[in-house]
Amino acid sequence: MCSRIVSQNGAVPPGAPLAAIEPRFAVLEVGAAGIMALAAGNDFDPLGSVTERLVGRPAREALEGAPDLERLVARAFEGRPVDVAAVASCGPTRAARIQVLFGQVPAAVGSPDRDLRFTPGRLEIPAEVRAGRSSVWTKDGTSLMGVPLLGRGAVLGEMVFRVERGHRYDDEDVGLVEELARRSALAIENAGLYREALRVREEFLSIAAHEIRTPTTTIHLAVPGLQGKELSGEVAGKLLAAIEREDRRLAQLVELVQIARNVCERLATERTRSGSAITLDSDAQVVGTWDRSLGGTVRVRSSPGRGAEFTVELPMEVRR
Amino acid sequence: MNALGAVLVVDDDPDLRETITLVLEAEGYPTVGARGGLEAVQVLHARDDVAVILVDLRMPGMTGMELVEQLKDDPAFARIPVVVMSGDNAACAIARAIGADDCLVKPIELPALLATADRYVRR
Repeated sequence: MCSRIVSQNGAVPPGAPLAAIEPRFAVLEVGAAGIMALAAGNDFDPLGSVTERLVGRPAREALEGAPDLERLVARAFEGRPVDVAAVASCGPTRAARIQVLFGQVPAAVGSPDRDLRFTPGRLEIPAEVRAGRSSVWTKDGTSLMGVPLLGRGAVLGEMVFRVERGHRYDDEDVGLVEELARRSALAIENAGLYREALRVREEFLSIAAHEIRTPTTTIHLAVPGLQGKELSGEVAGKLLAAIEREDRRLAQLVELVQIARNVCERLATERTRSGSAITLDSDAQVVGTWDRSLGGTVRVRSSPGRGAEFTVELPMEVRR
Repeated sequence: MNALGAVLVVDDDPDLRETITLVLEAEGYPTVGARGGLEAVQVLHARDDVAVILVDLRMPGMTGMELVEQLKDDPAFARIPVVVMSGDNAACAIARAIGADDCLVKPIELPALLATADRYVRR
């Protein structure tokens, strides 16, 4: 039984980047598409897999929370708090639901060897974990570890691990799981951002359709109206004037779309890296995230005179 | 005296509102326009001959959706057929969801507009 958080190659060096310890963390590092990306990959259950490798099967079996995956994902996508971000089981029954939910998960997810049991009941998560602080405690001879999933100023949920015997979680374990939780929280937040981006795109397309189809409707109605009936000069004049105005409006819309396209092409066109410093140049507002496990300094320059520079002591990464 | 009920056209786009009004009147349908939901309610309170209401969904202020829901909740107006006009591909699904009686997906063709008017005004 693997009852200690270790990498495949041995003990985890304190502060080591997770990706260097476990390649599967690279999946988490993708981050940008969050849960969607995780779900779409061959390894649907990266958190569970990582947990299993690091903490061992018994602990993975005891990984608590999120008994309802659909609810977890739905709530994560809504940006509301989730109970636990880790999913511990992909048994055949759940795999079927997962496949329905995402439509992209390979059937292999439900293979019998991954049909793990959930520990009955539900762990009581200490208040301090819910408040955002990691905690190690024991209950009935079992060592438990709770780590909060911290988003931007909010506790998104908690990850709770339990090992039945032979090991007591220590600071080193907590440190590693905190990093796992941090990246999980980032994935959840990114999933929310991704969802928001999709919503904004849909809203834009809906407005664009409205703005194009409304003047088109005027023309579609006015032209046959002019052709079909003997109209008074006044009515015909009004219809012709409406056609002219809507024609100009459509031309302006085409122009607007072209301008928007040009602006988008100029966004974040320059990104340079020198040593540990990353510089991002953009003509427009840039929203980004950084990863502390990489670079050192990020300079973000937008419009001339409106630049901003962020310097941190910890490594960081910029994603466009 | 005109025996036909009136068509109430609710659209914030002045050109489309006027065009629908002109082509329907040219075909003999009494028509009245309203620039938005609030004005539509005022028209409905002012006259009792409205036979059908054509409502654009996307309008500033009171949206078409809000107007339809308000009308369907008001016993005085709930019986008046409401036809949703929208450029949204899901217009008809939205119409059903909010209790509207029919839908016209933009861009609307003249035959479809006339058929709709005929269906609800002459029945």
